[in-house]
Amino acid sequence: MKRAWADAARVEEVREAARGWAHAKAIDPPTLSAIEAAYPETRLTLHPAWRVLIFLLANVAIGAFFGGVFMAMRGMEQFQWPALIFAVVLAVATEFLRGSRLAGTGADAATSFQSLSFFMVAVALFLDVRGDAGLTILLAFATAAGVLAAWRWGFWFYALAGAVCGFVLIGRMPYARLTWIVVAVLLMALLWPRLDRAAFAPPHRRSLAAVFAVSAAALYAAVNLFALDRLFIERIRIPSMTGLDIRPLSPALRFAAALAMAAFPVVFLLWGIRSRRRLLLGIGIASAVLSAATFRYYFPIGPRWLWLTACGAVLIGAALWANRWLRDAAGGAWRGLTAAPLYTVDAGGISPLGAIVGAHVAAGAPHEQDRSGFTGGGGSFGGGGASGNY
Amino acid sequence: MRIGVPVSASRSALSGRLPASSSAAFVRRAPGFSWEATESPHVAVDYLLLLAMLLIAADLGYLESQFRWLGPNWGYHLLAVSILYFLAAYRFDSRAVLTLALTSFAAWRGVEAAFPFAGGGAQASAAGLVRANAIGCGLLYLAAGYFSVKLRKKPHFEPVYVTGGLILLFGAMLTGVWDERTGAWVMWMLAVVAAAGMVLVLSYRHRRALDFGIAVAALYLVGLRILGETGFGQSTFFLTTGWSIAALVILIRATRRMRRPA
Repeated sequence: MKRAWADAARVEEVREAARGWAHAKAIDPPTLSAIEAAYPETRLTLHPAWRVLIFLLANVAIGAFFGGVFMAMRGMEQFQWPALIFAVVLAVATEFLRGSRLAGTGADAATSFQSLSFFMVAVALFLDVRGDAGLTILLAFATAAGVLAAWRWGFWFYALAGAVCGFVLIGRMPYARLTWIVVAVLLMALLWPRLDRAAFAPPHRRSLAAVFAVSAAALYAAVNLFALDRLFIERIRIPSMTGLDIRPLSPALRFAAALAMAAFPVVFLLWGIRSRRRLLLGIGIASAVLSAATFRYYFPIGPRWLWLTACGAVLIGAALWANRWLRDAAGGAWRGLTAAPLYTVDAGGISPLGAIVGAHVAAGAPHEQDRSGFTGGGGSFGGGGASGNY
Repeated sequence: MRIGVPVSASRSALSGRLPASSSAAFVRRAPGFSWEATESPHVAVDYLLLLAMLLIAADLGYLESQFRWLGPNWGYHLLAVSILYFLAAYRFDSRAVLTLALTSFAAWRGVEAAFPFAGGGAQASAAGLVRANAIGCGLLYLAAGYFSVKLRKKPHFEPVYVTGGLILLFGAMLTGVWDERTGAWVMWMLAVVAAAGMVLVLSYRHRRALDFGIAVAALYLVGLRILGETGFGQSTFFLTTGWSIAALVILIRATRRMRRPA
């Protein structure tokens, strides 16, 4: 990543943090203005809804253009070289857009995404992927391309995709489960001290966090009892598992897996509380839900609706209890943990869109801010589900 | 059957008790009514209100499906829920619940319009009637948004009304543009262009980015429909590229201009 891009990302972080402080009334408007003057905006910052719209429009534009070219090529057989050329052209376009004021608007994400897509299509056509070996090589290319794209352009999604491809690649090798565990633990140990390192640009820190999350998920998948019984990881190498002598798993191994599965969420939740990191808490909560579901699968106690209701009640009760406990603690905090609003603009209640979604899947969404139009250096808007800051 | 009755009764009692207790807890904690915005007294209040409203609606739906009190007029269930949501939204100052009220009301109109044609046949008539109802709802919501600001009655609800109204209005007209059965797509296209032009001018003048984006998206889809008429040759693909880039440029340039201080 170029130094200028990293600097722009740092400026964006500071401005966003300052808006969060102002939103939480930790600083007054003149202070916010002073911070924004000290860190002037170097690129256009848009609301996520606009970024998605621009990403979609740009993808349609690129897709339609290459659709026209593809029609002229008349068939996939001759398409490998054009696909590679498109990938290079789009990579150059991404380089240009990342360095312009349009960086982060969704247009650069679209060109980079299409560049990688065309690259993978070109590789697949060049390798003539049909057999097992071709698929393995394709996965290796996908891993490398994802990691390189995340390193160069700073999109965390590519780091996540690259890490997923990497673990699938490992899954195609012998002793896959053991290797998953070792690699996941090593990666987490390697990445943990670097998640907050100031030397890394914010997009790179987000990419490292994405790889950390994938590693944690891989570790959990490797020790989950259900995944062990169903040989999920082994099936990556041999999907049908036919023609293999599959012996029943030893009770000791299954017991160890059950213990690890139960300990995993506890460890991550405690680690998250101790280190005050949402990422770890999120991993802990997600794995706790999966462990509870696995437990219910092997020990079907009571009707399913009662089990789900009880789980929901426990979660709601725990959240309310924690909120009250922290709020009533001396100084409104306990060892640095607080129920007071965090210094982010997106913390709060339910948005209108969240309400509609909640009506279907019982899920919440960030609170909608008042629509007050644009202001220099970041305003806010809302309504009908879209809300937040520019 | 002997097992089913107590099970369903206990479920009904449980699901009935939950909204009642949630509502009671909420009323105790909620601030008094005001035509202005009020602040939530607790982090759980918004969620509790939403939970209570959804559970009440689910209970009403369950009762209707079990006892069929409304018979063929079951669509009124949606109207009843919508009225309840409206009352709760205004009493407890919740934009989330207001959104539910608007969607329930629009769903009621949709069901009422489409239900007589549910037996099959006359699909085009049903679609036309649903479309007309959606346009009516959209205009009604836009008017509600206008008057909520004009009369200073919950003016902060205006974005919800206007955004909901615009989405319904453009959505309904765009179904006319893309409807192959009636052959009236040109008329609908002109209607969308006129409405979108008006929204573009007003939203640009008042610096309302979301409304501007909705209008641009509507015009973009109209353009794709026109391009679709030319067939699926190479030229269509290249024209689609040009049209998408034009939409991108308009969006980005307008955003930059709207961000400048007035």
